Amino acid sequence: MSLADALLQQAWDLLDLDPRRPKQVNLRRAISGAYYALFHRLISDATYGVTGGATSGGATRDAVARWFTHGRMVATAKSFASSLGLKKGPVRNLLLDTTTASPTHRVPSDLVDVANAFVALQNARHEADYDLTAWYSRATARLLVGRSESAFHALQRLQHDPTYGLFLLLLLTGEEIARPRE
Amino acid sequence: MTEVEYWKGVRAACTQVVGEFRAAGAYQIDPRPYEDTAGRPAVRFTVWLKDKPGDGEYEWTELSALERRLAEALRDVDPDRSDYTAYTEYVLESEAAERAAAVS
Repeated sequence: MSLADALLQQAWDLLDLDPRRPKQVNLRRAISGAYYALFHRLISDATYGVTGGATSGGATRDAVARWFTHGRMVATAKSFASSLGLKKGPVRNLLLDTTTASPTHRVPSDLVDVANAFVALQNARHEADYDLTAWYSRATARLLVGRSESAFHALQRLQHDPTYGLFLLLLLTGEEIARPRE
Repeated sequence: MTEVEYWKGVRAACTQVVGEFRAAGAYQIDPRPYEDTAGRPAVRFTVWLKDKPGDGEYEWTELSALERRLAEALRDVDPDRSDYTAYTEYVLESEAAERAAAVS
């Protein structure tokens, strides 16, 4: 089982630990795990694209995995989640169809869902890990873990989508890499 | 658009959306200001849900449409406001008293 799958399974297990009155610490860890599951799943897909599936590429893949940052990933996710997040530039030109009177966002709905989930789960994880005043209902934690799992299913459907390939690249590099040639 | 006008619009949007999702179990949506992980201003929603019969649990697939609709409604309030970051908490009727005690 991959780290991402194991984290997701652990999040579900944490939700089931206290059938009556859930302990806040278990709900917090479940929410945090739901985020990290998606975080590692995306990095796994991205590094697979860099090194391929060869067993011998494991060390390289693991090294590249450390190059990803939460901040750059969430900035990219915002760009793919909504056309409002797009800065003017080459990436915007790829993701926005401006040939019509009202420009439309050219991102598959599954990828929009994944991007939104990443943003929401990162916010939730941040709060769950650092905000001591936060209180969680089991319903909130369960829905966040479910959202992460739903993103996993969407990623399965996106495996051969070129826009997903671009998303994975930009998760690592950020949009700054795309500059028009002078 | 002023902040006051913006939040008035957000509250009206919540009323509209809760009306659309009453059958899905939502009976109230409260918005409030929130800061995302980058410290940027955003909106946080508390969605109050009816308990399901027999200790049933809500699944994400049942409520994903509600979150999408909330995002759309926010964009309708102010299309130029690009700082929206989705964060929604859900509270069941049966959890309301516990939540009130915890956050008071």
